[in-house]
Amino acid sequence: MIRPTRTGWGLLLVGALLYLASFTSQASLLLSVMSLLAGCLVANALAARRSVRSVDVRPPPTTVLAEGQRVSQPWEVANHGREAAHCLALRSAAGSLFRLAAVGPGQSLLVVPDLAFAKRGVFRYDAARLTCEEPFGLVAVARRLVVAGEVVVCPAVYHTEPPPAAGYDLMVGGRHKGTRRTTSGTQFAGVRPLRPGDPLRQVHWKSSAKGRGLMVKVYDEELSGRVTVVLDGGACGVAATFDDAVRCAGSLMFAALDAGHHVEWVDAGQMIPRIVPPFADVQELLEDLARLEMQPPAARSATGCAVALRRAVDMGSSRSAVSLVLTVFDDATAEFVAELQTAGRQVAVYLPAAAATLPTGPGLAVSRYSATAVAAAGAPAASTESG
Amino acid sequence: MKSARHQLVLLGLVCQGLSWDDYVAPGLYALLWVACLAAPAGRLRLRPSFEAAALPLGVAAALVLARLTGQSAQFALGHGLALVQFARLLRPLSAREQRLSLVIALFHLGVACVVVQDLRFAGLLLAAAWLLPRALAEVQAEAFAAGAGGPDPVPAAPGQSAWRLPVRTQALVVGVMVVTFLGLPRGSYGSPFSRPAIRSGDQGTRLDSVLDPRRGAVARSRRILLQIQGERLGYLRCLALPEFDGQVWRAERRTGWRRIYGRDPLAGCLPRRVQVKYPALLARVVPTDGRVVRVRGTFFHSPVETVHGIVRAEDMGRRGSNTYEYWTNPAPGPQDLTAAQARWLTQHPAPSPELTRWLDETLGDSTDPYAAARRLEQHLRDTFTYTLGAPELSRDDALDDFVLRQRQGHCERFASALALLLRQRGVPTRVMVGYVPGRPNWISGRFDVRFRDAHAWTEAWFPGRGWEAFDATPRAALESPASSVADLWEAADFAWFAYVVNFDAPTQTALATRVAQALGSGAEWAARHLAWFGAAALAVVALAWAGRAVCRVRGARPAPVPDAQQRALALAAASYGRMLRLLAAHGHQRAPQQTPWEFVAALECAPAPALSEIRFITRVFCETRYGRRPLGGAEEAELERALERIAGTGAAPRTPQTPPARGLRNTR
Repeated sequence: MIRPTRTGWGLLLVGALLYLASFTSQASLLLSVMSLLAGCLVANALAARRSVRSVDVRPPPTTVLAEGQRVSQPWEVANHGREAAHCLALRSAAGSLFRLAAVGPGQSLLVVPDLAFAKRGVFRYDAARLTCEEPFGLVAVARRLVVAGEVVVCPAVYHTEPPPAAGYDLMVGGRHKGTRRTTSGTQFAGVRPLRPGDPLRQVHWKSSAKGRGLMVKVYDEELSGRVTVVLDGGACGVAATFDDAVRCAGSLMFAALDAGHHVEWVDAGQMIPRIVPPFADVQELLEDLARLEMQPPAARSATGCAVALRRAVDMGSSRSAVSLVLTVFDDATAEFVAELQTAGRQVAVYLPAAAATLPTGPGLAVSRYSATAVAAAGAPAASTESG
Repeated sequence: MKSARHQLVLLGLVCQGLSWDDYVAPGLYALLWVACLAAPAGRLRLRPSFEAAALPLGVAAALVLARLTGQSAQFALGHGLALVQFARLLRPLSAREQRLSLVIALFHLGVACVVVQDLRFAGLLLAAAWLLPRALAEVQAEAFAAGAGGPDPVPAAPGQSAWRLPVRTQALVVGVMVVTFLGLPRGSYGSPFSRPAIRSGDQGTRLDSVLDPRRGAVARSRRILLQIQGERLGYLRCLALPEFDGQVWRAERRTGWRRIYGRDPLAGCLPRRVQVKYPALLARVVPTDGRVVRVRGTFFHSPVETVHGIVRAEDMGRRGSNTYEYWTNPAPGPQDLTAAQARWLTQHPAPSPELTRWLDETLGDSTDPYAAARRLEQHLRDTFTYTLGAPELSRDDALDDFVLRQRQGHCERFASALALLLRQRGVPTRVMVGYVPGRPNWISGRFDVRFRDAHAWTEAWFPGRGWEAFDATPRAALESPASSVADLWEAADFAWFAYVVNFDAPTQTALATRVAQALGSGAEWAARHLAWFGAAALAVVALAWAGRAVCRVRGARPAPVPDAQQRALALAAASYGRMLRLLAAHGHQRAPQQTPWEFVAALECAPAPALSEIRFITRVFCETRYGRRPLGGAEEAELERALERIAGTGAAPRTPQTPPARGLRNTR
């Protein structure tokens, strides 16, 4: 792609003025000056095009980062041309990766990009552009990289309180202790007489040998709750708020997983439910969050948002607690929340720090999230380090 | 002369100075430029408010000075911008300000386009074509290095030479400039900014003043007024003086004229093509020779031919090409003269007896008026002397004074004397003023007509012959002086005007037509010889294929020349290999699983004098192999010396039998 830079546009304007002035002048000399400018522009375009075409950039394989981190692996830049290439810059949607003063003919360099990826997202290598403005800075020639791979920037999750959970189920290794005893588990609680149906493997032979009949081992009940985290898909239409919401949702899910709960995660924009057990690998979840895109503007009506939230909640378990991470809270949403409460669901609502609040029913936990923290409504959002 | 940008700023300032005068203002601006650059950095830093006020201040000063000195104030804005340039020379500029200074310099160059249209502008344009790309590249390189628009750039590799604008790029700029100039659509509608060709008080450009160089036109007499192309060229008429009141000759009255404008050429007529450098100097007269039958041109309106054969136009010089064409009748029939005209054209003061006697003696017994006229013309030409600046003639009897006493003078006197002497014999005459075509120009092949070629001659009418030209001025006076450097300069200046300054739409169209014709004829020629072309192309392809095949068979294809990095890698690997072989010869075998630095660590367990050399070679190898670092000349020599030292120390270190743990250390 060839386009004039700002300086180039400026000189084009000067050239146009000279051209117009030449119409009112008998002499063609003004055209000679204009032609000189045209010569500079064309020479710039040709030289930059040659440089861009002769330089190859080979990035490392797919890189996964968190927001605010830098790429640590070097990128290889090789000049296959017969002349040196100057003033090269590699730009991605996240910003300028690196700039090179010169790459000699046949030379190849290893360059570590000096770019901190500030926002989550997926930055494909083939969307990055190698740009050159050599030698005059009047015309920029850009070329997309033709390499596979991407930089995946995950949201920077932070420490926060786990969301409320419900629908506790037995789970070996569950972090929540129940009131009953079971014949399986990891927390030994004692023995009891064998009952029909008890597995023989659980017979505690040492106690049974004492003459009181066959005794089986019993354990403390280990439970795991269920949390359904629903994101409203960015109904507010503000990218920054949506990013904060994604960060909040990620942090809540990580906190829930750390607390030993099952997490059911649905984005109302994509409607693809995902169930994450407490001890699962969360990398996949992070990448999901990194690739999450805001809801298209057509689906952002208030009613549409409430309908989408309802569908998203229905995709999860009917016994789980619902954590709604919202970017906007309107009447339709409030009505839907009230319905959930009426149906006996435990609901927590997470709103942006600056969002307006509507009157809500009793027992509804409303929290506020910012870019780096979640706080209960009324309490200031404590700044915590991103994790 | 700090940088190309500063030099371009100087060029712009000189251009702006030329809008004031030729020497003083450009020199003053150049001196100020030197002073600003020589000023100690930081001491003379002006406040931003002064920089902001510089533009209106400069404009106001230029307006006041223009009013005081009577100069034109139409470029006052340029002087204000010049003051801004001076203020900004005193401090380092940001990239944006640097680019703005380049734009201002271009504005000043644009001013020069209007005020300096002669060959000096070619020099200015060449300088701009040299400096502008360099200045732009310089500003861009600085801006890039300063990190505008992104992270700090990775500097060039140590082996990379400093960047310079390639000459090829510079040539490309000039090439595109020429092509754009030739191909750009253009038009001309007149402008209030156009500099008038004749300034008020400029007496040196008028025709009558160049006839007698005493009147101050000597300096410009070499300048080319026009170039004419044609066969059998005669004298170019500009002014007819048919009326003599006893004291002076007067120009013809506009008693009659005929339209001679036409677009189509006439068959059987002699064509003439004329390029004029200063149309305004023609004073609405279209110089022509012979009997004109048709005139075609775009820089004048409504040309007519007067009774005395002068082609005049209603308006001239503000539009279109400065080229015109006309056709003359090679065999014109005799023109009639009415009795009244004949009487009017034979009016003369009563001759003195001495003059009558002299005339009778000179003409002798010649009875044919035409033969008598030729005889008198020859007599004056042979026996009189051409002199510039001859003493003034007597007011009472100027003709007697010239013919009988002084017998010398310039062309006007000869033409006037011959006309009056012929009138005394009853021959209708008139004095014509115009130009004599000089020698052909060595560039264009056309005849140069310079100001010094201005001339006066006599035309006489004879029954059955019509008007005949007589030139009584001695021959030597009409011969052009030998070519000189000044002539060459003027020829180049005219070419500049003809082909650059006045390169307008019609000329452009004509050029395009000629190019198209040349291409068409070339294609036609190629099509005619298609068989030969095809055979030649086939032969070339076959030869290339054969050569390639031979190279493949022999394996003699030239290997690509290794670049510095590949060469460095090969050298480092070879040196490292040699070192390993030397060490192996002394019992220090590198285990396959050992990295280079693990091997060094293993060697360090057995202290030896050559360890520093081993470390050096290993470091160079690793940096070249894995870091793609090129090698310097000193390092190459040092590698060789290190190998020699290792080879010289027969007591190389002994490697312990048990290899150390991996990744012990890395001295990098």
